Amino acid sequence: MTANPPSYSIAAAQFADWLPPMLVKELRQGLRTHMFVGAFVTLQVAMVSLLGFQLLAARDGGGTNLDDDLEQYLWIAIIFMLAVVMPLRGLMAISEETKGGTIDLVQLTHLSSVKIVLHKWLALISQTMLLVIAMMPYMVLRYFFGGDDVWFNVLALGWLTLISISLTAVCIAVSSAGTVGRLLVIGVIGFPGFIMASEFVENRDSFTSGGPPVLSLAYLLLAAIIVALTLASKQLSAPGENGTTRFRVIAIFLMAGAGIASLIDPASDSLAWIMWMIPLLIVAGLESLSEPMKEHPGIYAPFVRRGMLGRIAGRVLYPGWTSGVWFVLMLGLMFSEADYFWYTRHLQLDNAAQSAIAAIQFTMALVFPAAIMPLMPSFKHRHWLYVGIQAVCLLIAIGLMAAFNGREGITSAVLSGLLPMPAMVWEMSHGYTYTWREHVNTIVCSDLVILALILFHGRHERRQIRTLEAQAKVLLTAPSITDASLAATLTPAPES
Amino acid sequence: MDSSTTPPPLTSTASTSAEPLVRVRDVHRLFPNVYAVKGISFDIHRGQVVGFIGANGAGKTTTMRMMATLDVPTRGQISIANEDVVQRPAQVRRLVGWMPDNYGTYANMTVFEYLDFFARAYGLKGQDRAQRVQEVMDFADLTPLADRMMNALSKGMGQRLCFGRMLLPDPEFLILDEPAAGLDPKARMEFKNLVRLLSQRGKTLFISSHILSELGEMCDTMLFIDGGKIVYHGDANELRKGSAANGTRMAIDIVVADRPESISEWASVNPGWTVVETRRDGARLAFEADDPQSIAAALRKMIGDGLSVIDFHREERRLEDAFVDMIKDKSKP
Repeated sequence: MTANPPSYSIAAAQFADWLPPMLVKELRQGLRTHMFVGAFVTLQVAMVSLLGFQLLAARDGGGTNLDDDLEQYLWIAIIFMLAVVMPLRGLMAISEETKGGTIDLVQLTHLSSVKIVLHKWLALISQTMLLVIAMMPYMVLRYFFGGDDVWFNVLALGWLTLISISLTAVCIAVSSAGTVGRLLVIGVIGFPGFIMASEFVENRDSFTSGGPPVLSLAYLLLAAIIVALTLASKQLSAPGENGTTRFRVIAIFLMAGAGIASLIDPASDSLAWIMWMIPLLIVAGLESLSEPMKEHPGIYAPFVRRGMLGRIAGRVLYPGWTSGVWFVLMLGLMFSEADYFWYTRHLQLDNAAQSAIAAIQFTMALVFPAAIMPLMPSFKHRHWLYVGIQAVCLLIAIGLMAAFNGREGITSAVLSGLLPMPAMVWEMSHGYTYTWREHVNTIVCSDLVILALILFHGRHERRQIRTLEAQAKVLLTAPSITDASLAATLTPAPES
Repeated sequence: MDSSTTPPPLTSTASTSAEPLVRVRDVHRLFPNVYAVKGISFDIHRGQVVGFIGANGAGKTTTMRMMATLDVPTRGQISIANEDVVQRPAQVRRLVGWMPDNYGTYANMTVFEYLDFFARAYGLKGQDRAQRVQEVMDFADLTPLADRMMNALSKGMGQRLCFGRMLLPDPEFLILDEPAAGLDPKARMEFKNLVRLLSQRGKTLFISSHILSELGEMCDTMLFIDGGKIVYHGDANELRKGSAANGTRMAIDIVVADRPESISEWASVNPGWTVVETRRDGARLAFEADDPQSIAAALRKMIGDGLSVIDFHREERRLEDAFVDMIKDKSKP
């Protein structure tokens, strides 16, 4: 068949060989979207207009500083584009592949889930960088014509860019969620993100004068990027691929890093390093306790290969909620210990014990749904079930607080200690300054009951894990399986 | 240029080896609330074109996804060229091409860019990649569409594009899930031609479809699945012919020059004949025997009895009928 010569060029495509395929594809698509083109043109027009006003003002001799209101509008436009529009583009990253049915096709190529997610994110942040870089000449020109402080503006733009790329990663992570989940994120990231970013730009001077804990904030944003991309790649994992262990190892390292940094950092507000990790704990709880087991011996083989130590590590790192409970408890313990050591190092011994206990109680509050969720095995959306249980606990806590407001006594102390979340809220409302003995006793008893319930519910999964470990051991000794009867012994029999 | 990434040409991969290319053994797939596949076993040999037939929810797509490494059997084993799909998925993926029932599209992307992306994703580089993309575009007749946006493609064009994408790594075993669904007659014809070409080049194809007559034309082996179990595995022609052996009666269309009701009257007094359908110019009868001698004798008797037969046509059993009969037989206690 003859046709007009196509416009694609083989020679021109050679440069793209140096770039990852997914990055090339996403850039090709992304640069054509109306959203990117619209954002780019809008910002360019805004910058040119402002520069024009400044030039006119300078010519008329009416001062070289732009009117404050105009300056404010400029920053609102920049913040809106960088902190809202560009990150929200990530909300389609995974859903586009899953809904379009292309994810299966991509999984059959040489691209791993990590590469897919990482390169999608790189493509999105490249477009954000393109917007930022295109603004730079105007920033510099405004310094010459308007006398603006170019350093502060560039610094603010830099921080905004960092916030933007972190939010982009978060949006990619939640892009596999349903419509409700994504709308929720738009609510959480969109509007508040805009307000927070506006506050930040308003007070950008303080970022150069030792105001907020800049280093720990940068660590938080970096951690958000790593965790979000790891979770996103977990959603895209092919059958038999273990994204859970990757996420959990990263979370443990991030928590350890924050703990060590808080002790090394000489600043008085270095506790922020640890406190920034609270969202990580919440995400870890939500993700790990909502996760089903993976009945795939190949996933267990790398642990079994390392003998007893590997199996012990597996009890924390295997996919599934039973190991997830231990993982969250371990992460919570690390958080609590870091908290305790920080207060001890800063010679606040009274606060140290109480803060550590509160951290443990917080961890128990995160783990608590695991004692309830196995009672509802047919509930399909496990994440929502987890969130629902936590919401009910919070309502109970608020209800108790309202009921016993101003009438604290043994009854309120005992009742609030029965569940971890109300107990935590009760303690927070008392400022950790004193604790009723009855309250503490109730907490200890209820925590033990919760752990016992979790152990009871997880007995079937633990038995399955042992079977899968045994199967993984067979796999390791006979990696090449051609005999069907051997294969039959390797896979669990289906339940009718 | 990296020779390891040089693609082999789209040429014959047929082998005379008796060892099956695909082995499926006692495969089960249990979803939380659905037992989709219940212990199926079959072999597929190199160069075969196999039709995979079943009603909606019979377990076709689940089976195909497991073969393509996109799902994992709860129990049992699937191997392709002696590579286990669960233990060595990466090796299996090099051998398998997968075409799902709905071809995936990307927004803001041209046909060429789509193929170019997948060629890159399969590890093809530089000139090799360009050459392979061009080969595939020529083979699937996509060259005139190279600069067209994907969302501007018709269903038939999209299926050709998906077909082309599947061929990029030159897989030995092609799995096609409902490839002809929603295609117009012209696109169906084009698709059949592509399948025939690939079959001539020695590729092994595994095709599922609801349109049994089309599968019958393309495939040399049929697999019927019902309720997660294989109910038939064999030759398509045998299935059409296999009436008497299965207790199914031979259908014969008869046209007479006058009094069409005379056929029905004749059939009612002659043993072995049943009226299936009366028509304006004759009738469709069912006969208990299918051997040529019995049929010839019956025709002689018809004429001898004074029927003015002007057309006597032994109808091949339709695959749809065979499939329905098969399902009925299996559902009997």
